Amino acid sequence: MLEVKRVTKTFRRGKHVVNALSAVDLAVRKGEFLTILGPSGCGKTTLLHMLGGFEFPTEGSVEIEGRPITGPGRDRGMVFQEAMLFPWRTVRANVAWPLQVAGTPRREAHARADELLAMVGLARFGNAYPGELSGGMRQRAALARTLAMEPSVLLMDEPFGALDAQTREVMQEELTRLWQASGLTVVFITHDINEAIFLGDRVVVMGASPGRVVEDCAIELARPRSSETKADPRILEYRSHLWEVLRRESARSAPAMAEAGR
Amino acid sequence: MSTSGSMAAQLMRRQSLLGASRERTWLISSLFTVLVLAVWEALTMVGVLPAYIYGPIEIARAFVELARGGDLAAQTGPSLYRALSGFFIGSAIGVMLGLLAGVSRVFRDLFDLTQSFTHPIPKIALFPAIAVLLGFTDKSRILVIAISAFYPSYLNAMNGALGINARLLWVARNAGASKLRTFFQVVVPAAMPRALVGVRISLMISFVLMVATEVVGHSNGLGAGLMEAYRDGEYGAMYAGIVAVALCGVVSNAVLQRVARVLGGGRDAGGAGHG
Repeated sequence: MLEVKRVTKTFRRGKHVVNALSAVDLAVRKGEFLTILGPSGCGKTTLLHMLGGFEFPTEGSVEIEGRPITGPGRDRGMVFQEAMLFPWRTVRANVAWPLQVAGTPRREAHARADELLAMVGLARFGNAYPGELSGGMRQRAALARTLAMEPSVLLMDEPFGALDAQTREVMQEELTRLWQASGLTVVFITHDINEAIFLGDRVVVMGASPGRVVEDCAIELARPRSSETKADPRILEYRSHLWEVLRRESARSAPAMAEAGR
Repeated sequence: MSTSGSMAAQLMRRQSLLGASRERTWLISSLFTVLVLAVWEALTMVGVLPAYIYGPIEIARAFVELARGGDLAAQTGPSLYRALSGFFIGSAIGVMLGLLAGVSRVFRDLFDLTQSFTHPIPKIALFPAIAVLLGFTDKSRILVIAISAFYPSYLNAMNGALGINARLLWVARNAGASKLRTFFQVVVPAAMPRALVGVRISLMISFVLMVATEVVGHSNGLGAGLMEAYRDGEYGAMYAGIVAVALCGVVSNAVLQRVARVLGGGRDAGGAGHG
């Protein structure tokens, strides 16, 4: 269980004080797949970094299993928009690295890395260097590396945002498959409405200036989901509803942003 | 495995900006060199150039003569010893302190003012000052070369470490890696390509300072040899000395690049700046 309680985050930009987040409340159940949707500047990434323990609230608290988050931990694995693999290590050595950090001997760590690579569909690429892989393959490797820590929570910051449309669809289907079998809690940030609906048990929409939660919508599509789910007519209903929320929000915040820019 | 292998091969056959393959690039540059040498030779044969400017063939002949007489080997040994000792000491300290300054605000603040004050001084100007203490000896020559070699390595290693993507360090923190492990397994390899650019500049500067320090005071070595040849009016030997210095530089640079490629692992093959 992840809990965000009355979290406010303010930055100083020169003389201005920017409200990145304002009184955000959010709870993520164990095993839930939560997607967060919102325009840039709504503080969704800041929120994710707080869950990861890389940033801290100005007011309020962020907790896991009732304990405040005081820093990064292997129980919460981050996946970034760019894979952030170590380019000087082979894919296998990248995936094995977190295991070796925890004291696993090299041989065992490499064997486990091969299992994880097989799981994400990269069985034949252990000896390749990240620079030799496509964007989608790099994200698979990054996911395998994060899973090597055996986290209970996955924190994903637009992990498919830099991929082409086809690769993105395939990756979404693979991720639901992996998640379904794992029991992981996932917090997934995106600005793609379809992606948010297809992946999420729940879609939280955030608005900008100040960053806050404006909608919390349960997605009642059957599990397990696959490419066929994408033809479900209810997706269109969710889509038009979420569009409506986002449009209302951008109409509301556009004048406010012009105000702030002055 | 075959798939990834062929993919790597494909990436290695990258094209240069003007669309020339590596083989063709090599051909073009050697053709250009031959052309320059031919024009130069032709100009000396026609007699347009002053008599003290020798043609490439005459220089080559003088070079062979200098090598046969044993003078070349006798001069190259001490010169290389000075240049490479100074280079190793200066660039090693430069890279180490540079990486430290890159990761630690305290070290950066500590070195920064000193560095920015001493960097603009032409290091050869320090030679007399050091000679007061150590005389015009190998020790003082190596010290001057080391001081000069320090700066490019220091600055590039520091900027290499400062330029590391912060998210890469987050990956290490997420995995719970200690500061020491993060430094050696993330910061050092991530900063290495940039640091090696500095090391290569340090190497070239070491050869410049090698010649400069050998010209002053009673010395042996390539610099002293070509200065002596100049005083004696033996221009052939003088040009041959210049060629010898150039060859030392080219060979050392090639060795360094080979070492860098081995250190860089498979990274060169993929050209991956970001993973």
